[in-house]
Amino acid sequence: MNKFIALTRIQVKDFIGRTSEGLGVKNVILGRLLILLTVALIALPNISLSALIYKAVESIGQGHLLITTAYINSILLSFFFGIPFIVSVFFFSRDARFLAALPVREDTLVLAKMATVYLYLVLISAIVMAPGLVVYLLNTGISTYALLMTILILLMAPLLPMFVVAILLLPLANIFSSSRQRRNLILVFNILMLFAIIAIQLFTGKLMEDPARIQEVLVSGGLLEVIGMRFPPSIWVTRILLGSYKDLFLFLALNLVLFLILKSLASLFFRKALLSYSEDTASSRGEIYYKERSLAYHLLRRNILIIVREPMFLLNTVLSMLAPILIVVIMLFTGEFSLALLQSPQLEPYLLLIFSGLLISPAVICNISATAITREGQAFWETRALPIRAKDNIRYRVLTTIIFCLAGSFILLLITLFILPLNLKTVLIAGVFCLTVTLFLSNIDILIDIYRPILNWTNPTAAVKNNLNVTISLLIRAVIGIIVYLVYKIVPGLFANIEFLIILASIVFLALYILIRSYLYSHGVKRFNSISI
Amino acid sequence: MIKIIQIKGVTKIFAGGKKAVDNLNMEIKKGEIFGFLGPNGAGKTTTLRMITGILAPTGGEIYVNGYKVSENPLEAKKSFTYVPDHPDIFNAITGIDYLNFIADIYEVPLRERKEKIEQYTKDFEIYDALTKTINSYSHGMKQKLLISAALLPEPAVFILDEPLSGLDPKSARTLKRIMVEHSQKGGTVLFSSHILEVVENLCDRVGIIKNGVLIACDSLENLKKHSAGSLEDIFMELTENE
Repeated sequence: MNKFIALTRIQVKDFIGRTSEGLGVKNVILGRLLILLTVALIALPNISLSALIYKAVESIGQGHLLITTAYINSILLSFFFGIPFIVSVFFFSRDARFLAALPVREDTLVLAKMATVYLYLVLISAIVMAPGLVVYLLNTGISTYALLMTILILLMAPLLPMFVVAILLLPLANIFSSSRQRRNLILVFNILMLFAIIAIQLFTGKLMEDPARIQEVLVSGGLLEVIGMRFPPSIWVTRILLGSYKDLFLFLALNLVLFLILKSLASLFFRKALLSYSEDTASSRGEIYYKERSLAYHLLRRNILIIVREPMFLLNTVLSMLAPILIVVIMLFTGEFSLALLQSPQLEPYLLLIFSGLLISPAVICNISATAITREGQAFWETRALPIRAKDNIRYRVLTTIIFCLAGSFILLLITLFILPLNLKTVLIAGVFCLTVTLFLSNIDILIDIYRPILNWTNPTAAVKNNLNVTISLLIRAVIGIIVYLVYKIVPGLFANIEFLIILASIVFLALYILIRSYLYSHGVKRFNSISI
Repeated sequence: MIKIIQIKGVTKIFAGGKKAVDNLNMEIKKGEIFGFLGPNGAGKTTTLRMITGILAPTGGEIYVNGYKVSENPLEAKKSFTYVPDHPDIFNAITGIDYLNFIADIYEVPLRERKEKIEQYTKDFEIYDALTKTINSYSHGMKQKLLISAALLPEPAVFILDEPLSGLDPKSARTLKRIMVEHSQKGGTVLFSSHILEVVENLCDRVGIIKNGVLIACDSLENLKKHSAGSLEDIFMELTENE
């Protein structure tokens, strides 16, 4: 077999294996079905959104703008998703030393690694772009040419952002030289990525709602031209589907040129990125010390450091803690939301509800207890072989989650104090509610992980992202949401007095917490003791 | 002689049906150095993991220092320290952080801890690296750190899985010396190894396991009565004939 194909196959197989391994599903077919289901769940709403956008742009006779929008969205997402992925594939490559010793050309190695990135991005761009293209084809008629071009565009869409990201990252290789910088940069890039996703959603939502705005731009020479001036490939892709061979040539030529640039830079990429991982040298931290500390200190520190020192865990935690703030900031930027709205006297009766919802959001989104054991991976043997009680082992993992969630809630509280006209009573009631919800959710989440720990993961993404525990934990929250909705439908009067409602909910969550806690420290402990590694 | 480890009818069947250990009965006496031998995949690591509580046996009972591991895991674990075959430890902390952590878990007094940390880490030549994070350590350095940490509490039983793999000759010699000293002070050493020469020179008794079944367990003198030649000859004869 050709060396490039053999290398690419092994890299792609490794990538697929790691992705399904992270789901914690032993059955391969079930694992793949779960991936498909996840993809479908993301793609389905996009189909209805595309249909709405088509309707909006078609009303001004510019139906093809759907392709332009879909392509731009796909490019932006591929770009922002591509950055952390390329960084982790090249700058955190654990197989770099093994690959470097193989009798294979450097550019072959780099391109084989790039194949994994491509596979990942083609999936993302397909989820974003395919619904738009399908809706367009269904509305304008399917021809062999249109079908072929659609497939070509879908397959080539991620190449442009992938090459650009790779080429742009190369000069940054020196910054990535220390592992600490790499961790920070991954964090920054991922926050940017989240911004991009939310901004795109808001942008397309607005476009769909307000065709008159498109009309305004059209007056000054056509929307396609306006977008195209900033980003010509989006015009080429749109015109390819309209039948332009010239634009097809331009699109192919651009991708080819970028590919050749990347190929020529491959050896530089190999040395600066792949090998720099192996050359990372550790610096000394402090002096040798001898101090006696409590078990609580050691276990809490260990659990906190497991999150803080692993970029993927840190990112997952920070983003969950701060997601509500990010959403508000982006909505402020896009004009979807204004602070003046919150000062409105009509909102006053609902202030406690809004504030309580904000405070509990870190506990609701940040389900890090559901991976508290999984995160430890192969190092879990230590806590099993050392004379540490299972109860303590569990207690400090839960406490770690509570610390992170309450820290997130506290940051939100500080920010909200400047935005909402709050009084002490509101803060206290919402604070108690937040505490009971956090206690309940962090205890119930760790039970999921005690029953389904995944300790044999090879990459941290598998531990915290592609993990079914997280889905189960979110499902529990969805069930609670449905119960609250049903209560609202059955006893609407209960929602008339918000203060009473929040206090009642706090008592309910406190009772649930006590129940779950007693189950956790009886059955949960037994189960924890039987976890094998 | 006091039996410090008792393994009674222990069986381990993994999910999927693989029987890794089959009705194992074995006793290890206080103060002896016990070598656990067997071909790859014979069940050595599984047995050591069951003794240390990392794996739960499917059947049978294990006692360490008189405590049933399944019922009194905490007391049993206070009696031993364990060095695994792969030094997979939480590596985002520094070496000295790790040693202080282990010392606190096993309640090693401050003065004693300083003395022992200096002694063992200097013996193993990792003292200067103690302020660096463990993820920057080589395989051998991690192994030396784990051994140093396991020695801090002066455990009643010192359990090591393939302890010599990854060690340089000087460190291997240091470890062998420490194992003998530990036994002379009344401590017990249980270790698995592939290096038959080391087992032959160090051990008071040897257990040989194959396909999860203990096929021999005796002193070297007694084993040699049945077969002429070195431990290697005995090992080859037993593992091939069974």
